[in-house]
Amino acid sequence: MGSSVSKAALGATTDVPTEPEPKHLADLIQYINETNMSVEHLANVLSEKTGSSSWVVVFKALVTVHHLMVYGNERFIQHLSSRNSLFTLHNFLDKSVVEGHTMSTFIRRYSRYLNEKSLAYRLMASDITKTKRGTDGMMRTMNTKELLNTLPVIQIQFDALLNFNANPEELTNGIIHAAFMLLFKDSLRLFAAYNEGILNLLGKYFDMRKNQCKESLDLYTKFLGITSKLAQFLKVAEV
Amino acid sequence: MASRWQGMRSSVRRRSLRNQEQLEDSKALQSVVSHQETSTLGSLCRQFQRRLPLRAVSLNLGAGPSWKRLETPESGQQDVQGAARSAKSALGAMSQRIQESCQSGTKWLVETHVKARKGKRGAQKDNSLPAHSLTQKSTRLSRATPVHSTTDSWERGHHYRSIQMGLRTPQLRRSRREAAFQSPYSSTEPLCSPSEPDGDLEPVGAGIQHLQKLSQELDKAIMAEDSSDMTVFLIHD
Repeated sequence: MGSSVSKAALGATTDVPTEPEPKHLADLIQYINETNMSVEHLANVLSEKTGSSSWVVVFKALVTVHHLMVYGNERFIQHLSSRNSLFTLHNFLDKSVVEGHTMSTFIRRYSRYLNEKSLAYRLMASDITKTKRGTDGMMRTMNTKELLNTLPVIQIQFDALLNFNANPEELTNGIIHAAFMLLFKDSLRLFAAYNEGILNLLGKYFDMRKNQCKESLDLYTKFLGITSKLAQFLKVAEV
Repeated sequence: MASRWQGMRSSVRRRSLRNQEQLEDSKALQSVVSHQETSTLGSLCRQFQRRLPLRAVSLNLGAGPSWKRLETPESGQQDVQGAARSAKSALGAMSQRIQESCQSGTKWLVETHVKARKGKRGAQKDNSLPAHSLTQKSTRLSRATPVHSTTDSWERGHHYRSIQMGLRTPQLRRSRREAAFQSPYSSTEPLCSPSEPDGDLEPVGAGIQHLQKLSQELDKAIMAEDSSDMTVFLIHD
């Protein structure tokens, strides 16, 4: 891996409590998109940074990974999804500073979402937020069996996204704000795909067997619940 | 004098006999009518007793403003806020409408699945036209105005279900139903006609249309956000 990319990765994950600098992120995106160099080492550097005890470094590393998943070539998320384990931050807690407690909660939730996002890529072999939409899109043209397998995966990813559950008064620094913006971006695309899947499901409902109908009704009921939670999420994004 | 009394007595007797005959006739008629109505209504009541009440799906959303067209973005932050605002208002308005329709739609999906499959199988045997999508079917049916002059047990059942679900029944359907209750013998249509569940498909069709509209609005919000991203990247470059 080039020294400039290493510098960019380390520069994006310093202990300065501000969001990762756009120039470092742009360098990393350029490396992923415009070269055929391996992304493994880059992923290793960022994964190592999530092992830090400082919430600032960990949160910035997660934001950088998310940014590369969203704006980078699919080969980055493809590599992450091929790993045995991604982020093991379910017990993370930084008690050294005042805001460490609160930010640690968001770090645990955020890392869970990124894990679900990678898992969803592994299960569907594609990034649902980047798939083609519309009447000839992926979700609209799926058959019944694929729909019944795919929609629960989307629901789990969505649940993890909405579980970030930040209020406007909790977005107190640039790092959590950057994380929230990336989650907002994902939420729109994820819900657009989810909505198209539900439309397809309703269209196929009357041709389904009884057990498939039961599953479809469950999926539809969950869809309604997620819709109302998303409305709350968007209220925060509006502020 | 005696003849006058006799005349009066005979006229009174004739009047009472006539009244008696009228009473007997009306009783006979009522018993026949009530027997027929009782048997039809009884079978309907038995059908409805078998239907399980479903929990209403309630969405905790306040009233949202009407969706406004997205304007050309000027800066990154305003664009994101605008995209969030438009997506939120579209979602809020759509969720409210779906909340009203999903209760009846979900119930109808559960209750009429079997009937629809039977009807479709029968229709497929007779009809050589290709199968329509659910959206087209529901749109066509929701647009169709009922032109039959009499009702049947299907509509009576629907009326009963509508009361249970708290839906407002259209005036036309109510007046036709009242006419049928007054004179069921005027009906030349069969009592059961499951091939025209126009009222039952309305909530599902409306819900699907709302989802389609939401899909379009989400696409617009995503495009607006993408264009703002491009602006930000260009500025940094």
